[in-house]
Amino acid sequence: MRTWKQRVRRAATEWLSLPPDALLDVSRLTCLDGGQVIVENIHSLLRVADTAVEIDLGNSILLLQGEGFVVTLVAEREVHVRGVVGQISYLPKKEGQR
Amino acid sequence: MKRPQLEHIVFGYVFMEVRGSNIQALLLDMQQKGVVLHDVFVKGDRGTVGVCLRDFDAFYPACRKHGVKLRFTSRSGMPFFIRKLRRRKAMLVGIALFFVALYGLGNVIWQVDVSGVEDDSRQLVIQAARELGVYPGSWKSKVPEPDVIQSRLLKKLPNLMWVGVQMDGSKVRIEAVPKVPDVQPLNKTPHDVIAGKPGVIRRVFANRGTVMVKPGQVVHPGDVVISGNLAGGTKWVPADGQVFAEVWYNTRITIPLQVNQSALTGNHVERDYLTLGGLNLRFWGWQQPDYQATYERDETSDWKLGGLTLPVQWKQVTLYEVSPAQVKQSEDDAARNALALAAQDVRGQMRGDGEILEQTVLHREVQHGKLYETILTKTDENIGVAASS
Repeated sequence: MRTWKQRVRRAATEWLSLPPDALLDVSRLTCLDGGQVIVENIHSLLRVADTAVEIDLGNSILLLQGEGFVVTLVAEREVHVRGVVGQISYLPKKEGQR
Repeated sequence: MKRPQLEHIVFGYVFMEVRGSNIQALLLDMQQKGVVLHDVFVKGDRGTVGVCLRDFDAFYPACRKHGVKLRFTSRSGMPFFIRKLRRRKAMLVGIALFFVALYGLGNVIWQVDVSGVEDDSRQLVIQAARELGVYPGSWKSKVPEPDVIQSRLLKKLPNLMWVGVQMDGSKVRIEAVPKVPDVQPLNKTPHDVIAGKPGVIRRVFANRGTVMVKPGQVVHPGDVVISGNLAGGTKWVPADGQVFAEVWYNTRITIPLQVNQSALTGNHVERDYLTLGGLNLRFWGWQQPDYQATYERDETSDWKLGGLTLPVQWKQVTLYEVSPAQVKQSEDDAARNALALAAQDVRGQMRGDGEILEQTVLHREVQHGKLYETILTKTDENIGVAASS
């Protein structure tokens, strides 16, 4: 259920034709040449392994699969990942997880 | 591709190996707390984590909480560098010495430049400046202000019109303007023009006064040529004019027909010595040339430390090959040279402008390998001199 605040923001974004990530609280994923991934506006870093990185984006879970993943930066709202990216998938959030 | 960030350089950065089954929980915990982690690599229950040293105080308790073991693999940044320096006292002393030396040597005058005057005056200016304490190797702090140096130099050297002193770092530029000798005032007291040399008058150009001689007349030194007496003694003026007369000079010339002359062939070897007191240590130049005759030239450095000449100096010796040569000239050549020499001698004796009319060889003799000649030179020159009375 969207709150009234979110509705106003969405409307403002559309009316001012701003990119949606400027005002809306949505995540943003930048993938550079399949070798470097920058994810902004995340909720939490769920799992880090050399073949997979799992990130909670709030309303969904981002799963990066590939090889030799190194998380070059972990900050409160941002994650940088380096490695060979094979697959980027958005998974629906499981019940019971925030 | 690890690029050190400014934050890591300033605050320090540690890179660790982590071990434990709870690494994921640790990472999540750190991320939620806002601790920035770098270069996280996890494989199974092992991995690596880099963290800024400033955040380590938050990181370490979390590791303990989650039962993750740490092992440091690298430390970088200023805090570690400073700690390393503290352990290496000699290096700190070296750095300090470097700055002390830089500052100290920057406070020494290294060069004194003098411009605007001739070479001989330049030496005088340099000498005077040295007496005032301005010389290469003196401390800048002991040197007085430039305007003080200027006034003192002017006082010391009365033949200078103006002196400018400029300090350019370790260089002192002295610019001097020499006084131009003023024009002699015209002699205003009444006087005659008399003959300065014996001769036969040829032409007289009188600007002022009464001409007392005629062309063709023989005059002796002291004879009045142009009188300052006008109108029969009623008025006396300073006489002025040019008196051209034929003057005879006798010159005796001796020219050797054969001269032993040694010339440098251009071949030379160099030797470098380090002199310690009276001891010469050869450092360079071991060549032993087979020169028949040599000419040696020494050049010793002038190393000083604060006005004291050091006992250690560098000496450079150059040995030049000399080839003895005999220069012969024929009697005719010698005679020609004799005439030229006589003309040169006579020109030195003539005052002002004048010309050589004729040269006659009165006597010629070759004896003991030398040419003896007596030459009579006739000149046309101004012999008029202002009489002092």
